[in-house]
Amino acid sequence: MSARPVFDELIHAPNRLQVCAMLAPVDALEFGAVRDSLGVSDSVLSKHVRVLTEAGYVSVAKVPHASRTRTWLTLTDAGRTALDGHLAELRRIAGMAGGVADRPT
Amino acid sequence: MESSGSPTPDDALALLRDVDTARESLAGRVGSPWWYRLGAALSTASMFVGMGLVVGRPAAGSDAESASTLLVVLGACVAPAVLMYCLHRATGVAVDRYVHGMLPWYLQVFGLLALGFVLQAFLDVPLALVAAGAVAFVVTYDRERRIDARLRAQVVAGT
Repeated sequence: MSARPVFDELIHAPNRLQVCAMLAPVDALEFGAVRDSLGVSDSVLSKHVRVLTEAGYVSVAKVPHASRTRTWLTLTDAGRTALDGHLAELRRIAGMAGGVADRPT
Repeated sequence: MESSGSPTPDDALALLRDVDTARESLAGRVGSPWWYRLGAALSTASMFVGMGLVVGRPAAGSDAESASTLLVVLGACVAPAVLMYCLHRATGVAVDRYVHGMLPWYLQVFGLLALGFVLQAFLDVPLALVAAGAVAFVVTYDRERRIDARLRAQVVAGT
């Protein structure tokens, strides 16, 4: 069943959209893996993660490892619903430009 | 692009392309490294070698009995758990690799185990379980390779 197109202002920021899109197909991603894939700094990603966490779209788990703590990010059900709706809306809008409404993303 | 309001079709296309790019980047990390595939195959093969020692009916408390127990426990319990932990640490990706079920692999590997056991224990074919273990090694390595390919495809598709 395809998601209902809903524009989500919070996810719309490109980095946040990409974070959610990467989290969707996996159980969890380590903070560093997301940072490296996006090519952004720790502080930039932290800011976006905080926004997503406060919205309830992403949950954060801190796992102690040796002398450091590793942070794992998970997309919540609310985040998944918002992502699916926003991607559906983007596909709908992009479809106006000509025949891309059936993109797989 | 911290814009507010609805994007233009061109903006939407650009964002969807960014999503594809991010997922392709993630797909590069989601597969297992060579050592995970090798470790999974070796742990499977170690169960066969351990069973092969059991078939030789080692004396209680002998080195052969200890080795057989060690190999079976290592291959069935310890190695898979350690490998999975190391995989998560190394890749930074937590995903259920075996969500699509392990029944075909179980059938193949335990079929081989039963065949090797019958050949070695009842028909006195020497090293039949070691040979079956070699086949199980290949089967397991190939299974992990296929799982990697499926996971990458799923990530790219966003499913």
